[in-house]
Amino acid sequence: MGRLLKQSMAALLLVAALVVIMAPLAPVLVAKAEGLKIEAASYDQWLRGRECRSYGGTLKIALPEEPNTFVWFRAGSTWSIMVLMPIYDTLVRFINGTLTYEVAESLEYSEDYKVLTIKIRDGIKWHDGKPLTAEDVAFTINVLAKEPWTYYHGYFAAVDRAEAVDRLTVKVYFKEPDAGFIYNALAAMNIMPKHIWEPLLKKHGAGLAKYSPKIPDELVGSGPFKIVEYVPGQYVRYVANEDYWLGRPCIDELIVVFIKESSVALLAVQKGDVHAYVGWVTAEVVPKLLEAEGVDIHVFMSPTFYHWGFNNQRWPFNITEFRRAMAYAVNKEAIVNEILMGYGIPGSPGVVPPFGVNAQWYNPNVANAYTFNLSKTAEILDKLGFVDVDGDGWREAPDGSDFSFEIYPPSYDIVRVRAAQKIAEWLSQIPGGGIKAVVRVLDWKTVWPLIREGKVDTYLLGSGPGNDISWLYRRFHSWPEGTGNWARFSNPEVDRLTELLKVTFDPEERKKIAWRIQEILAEEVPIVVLYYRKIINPYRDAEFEGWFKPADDDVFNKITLLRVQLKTPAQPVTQVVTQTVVTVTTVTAPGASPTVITKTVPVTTVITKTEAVPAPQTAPAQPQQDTTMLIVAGIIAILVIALIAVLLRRK
Amino acid sequence: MGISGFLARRAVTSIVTFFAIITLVFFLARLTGDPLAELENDPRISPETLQAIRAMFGLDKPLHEQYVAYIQNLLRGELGYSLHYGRPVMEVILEKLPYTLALLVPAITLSNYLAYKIGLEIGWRRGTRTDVVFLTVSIIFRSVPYFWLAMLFLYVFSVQLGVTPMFGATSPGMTFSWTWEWFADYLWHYVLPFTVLVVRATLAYMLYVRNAVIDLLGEDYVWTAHAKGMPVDYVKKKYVGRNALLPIVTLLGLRYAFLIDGAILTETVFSYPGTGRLVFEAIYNRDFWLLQGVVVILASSVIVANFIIDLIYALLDPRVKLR
Repeated sequence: MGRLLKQSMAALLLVAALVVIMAPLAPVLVAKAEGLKIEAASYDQWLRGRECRSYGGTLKIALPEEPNTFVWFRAGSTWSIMVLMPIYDTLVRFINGTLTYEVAESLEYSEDYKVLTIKIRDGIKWHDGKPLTAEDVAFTINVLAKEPWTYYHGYFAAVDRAEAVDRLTVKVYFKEPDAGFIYNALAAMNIMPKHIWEPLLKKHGAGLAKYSPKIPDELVGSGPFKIVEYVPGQYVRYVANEDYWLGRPCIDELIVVFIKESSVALLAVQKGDVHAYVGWVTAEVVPKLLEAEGVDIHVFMSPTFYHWGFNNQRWPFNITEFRRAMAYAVNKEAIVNEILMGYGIPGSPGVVPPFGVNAQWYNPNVANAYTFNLSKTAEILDKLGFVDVDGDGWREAPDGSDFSFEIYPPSYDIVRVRAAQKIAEWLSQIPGGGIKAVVRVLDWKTVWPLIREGKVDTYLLGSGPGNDISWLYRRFHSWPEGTGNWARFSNPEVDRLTELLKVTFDPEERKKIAWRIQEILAEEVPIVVLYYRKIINPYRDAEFEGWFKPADDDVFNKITLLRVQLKTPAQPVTQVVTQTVVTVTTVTAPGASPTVITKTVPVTTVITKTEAVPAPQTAPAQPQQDTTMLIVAGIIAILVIALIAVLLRRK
Repeated sequence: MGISGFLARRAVTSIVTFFAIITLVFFLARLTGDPLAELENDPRISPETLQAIRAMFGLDKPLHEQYVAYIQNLLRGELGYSLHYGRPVMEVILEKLPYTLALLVPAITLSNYLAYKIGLEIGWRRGTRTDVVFLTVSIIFRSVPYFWLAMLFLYVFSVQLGVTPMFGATSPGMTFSWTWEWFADYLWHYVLPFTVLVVRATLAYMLYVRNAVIDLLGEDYVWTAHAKGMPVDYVKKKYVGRNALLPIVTLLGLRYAFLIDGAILTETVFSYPGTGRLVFEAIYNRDFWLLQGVVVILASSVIVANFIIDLIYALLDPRVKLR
């Protein structure tokens, strides 16, 4: 008995001694760990100065397609993701190209980058009142890492498992370090409620991919809006989440309607039936759109790089010099100005887009590597032996045989079809004999297998980059599966560097690697990036204000959802008083952002305002008379009458 | 042989036709290539995910196995899952079918009735002022692209006059309920697509009736009837009118049969939900399963409609015998 006591006393003393000795070392260890913390902006940066001055109103947004699924795990289409965006939150989010902490409070890697510790905010509640905890986050990550049918599974390939350490801490264990994980995977990951989806997953397994969740009971999120109803083919309706942890949205209700025909959607925006249209709008309609009162456009860059791809394994495109000759024969500025009508920017020879998330890795030194110069093309072709031997105006191959190749643009994209025709035109104008390029416009689904199997010479393709620069691996690494590297480009140094990008975490180091890759791409020209497109979103600023217009995203985004608000109070004068009361409650409400409404509008001013300006909801702006349409209708009417008269005469 | 022999023979040919059609569609659809090919260029999708989705829809199996599985499911009454929507094909179709039925059944019926009435009248009075006016209007409405016509209606009534809504089958937020309020809202959205459909179809189809009437007017039995001094109205109704029913009945039956993909342009312009757009999207998205589901319904309705047309023919035309 005594011996045991003595032993434990000794052990205790030893521990105490160790603690005393180690204590001064602690700050050193902590400091070292701090170096692996992920820097990100706070939401305050985006919401400050954009407070709600009024509450209420119904915002209507038109989308061109309805969502194909409400199961976020399998949602890949832009429209599904957009429709689910208002109801869910992410850990981190890219806002205007800046990584911002959303539900996450901090992200910290272990020294070997094999463990990521995620701390989340306290006090976030699901729409059904249950708290959002680390369990939910760990569950979502695990589903995506373990279920191959989930859309983002590839981004979670390096994850071994995620564990909830305590209520607000998640640890993600990696099989191997993945430098792109936070930017690619976490920034895209909606946090899903475990208490809803775990039983469903158990019941259906992979069949969850073919499941339609019950609305609203199973579409519980933590986001600023709650989904109320979905009428297939028509609309989705949401109401504001009054208890949202960033403060409630300024509007009461959000309705997303589906208008398949873009000209109808534009008329609806002009008429005021919807407040924004998030679909494809061609540059031609912009002047007409802006004529209508209360309509404005938001123009932003899409990171998709539209390029002239070569099959780098096929002669003569396996000759670097030949590819360079082709690069000199493309006038990117002309494509942007004449075909895109200025709604785009010329492609970078280094492929990486110079804007948005990718701007931090963009190498400006290669920007002017190839300026349009047909005599340079001629010079290189002469050197390679592509000369016009028989004097027919077209260059022959070095062995004297006729030479031509094909360019495949997709038939559905008129811009690419015209760009292909332009390229063929420039190639025909090379001094000392043109190069014959045949443009073949075909249905993309017919052409795609040919590109994939390397059966075409050249094609015009638009490919999306990732949020993390490691996407260069997928596009230019000669990996065996080869998906993504459609140009069949193979370069040992690019292979090595892109592999390195995936495991290098130091931002400066990564930038250096990315710059080097861009230099090689500009030198080797596996593809010629023609342009990045600007996308046009028409929206109304007559009724609502506070639209957030990021340089790289739609006008329908999370900050817009939180801060878009009625321009003038919609309620009658008597209700303005109640409105002020609402404002006061928000100030005192716990959990609201620290910068709450500071400016209280005097009630009297509000009254005069309400009297002066009719409520926007009840009086939508009348669209302008469309004279051309009326003239056309008039001409047709006259023709009809004339035809009748002639026929009657003949009798 | 009589009616039972006719029925038996009809049943056998119907089943053979049905299976021929769905087999043809099954293989034709698969000739168009890999439905998941487009996902391959999506930076978010990994080859593993693509493989998982392929396996889920049986695309990794050889074609004959897929076919056998499909027929087995069909015999069990299952149409399978839609690739695009990830939901049972039946569910996707049934979700939109009520709108199509409610729009097209009245529109087709009314337009065929009007086409018959007007066609008979103007055929009877061929060469008169009324005939010329209707003929001209008809030719014009038939010739302008339907899409343009629908846009014109939308532009005049919804944008300029503002009396009809711009889009949808009900106002957003107008949840379905058995109330007058809902019904009024539904009708308000219904009237424009309905009108365009009826106007266009009436003006187009009355020509068939008119031509049939003009042909009939030259028939000997019509001359005889007139010569016998029969009342003009009686000749018009019983001698000419009844025979002129034949083309319109054929049209009516076929239009009912193709109802499921009937109103694609109407649906597009008026953002009206329905199955027409679904057929288009199934083809566009290479959603073989949805396409097959639609074809199963389409094929069976055409077969049934043809059968019914034959029965009605026998009733209308004593020369036609069910054999």
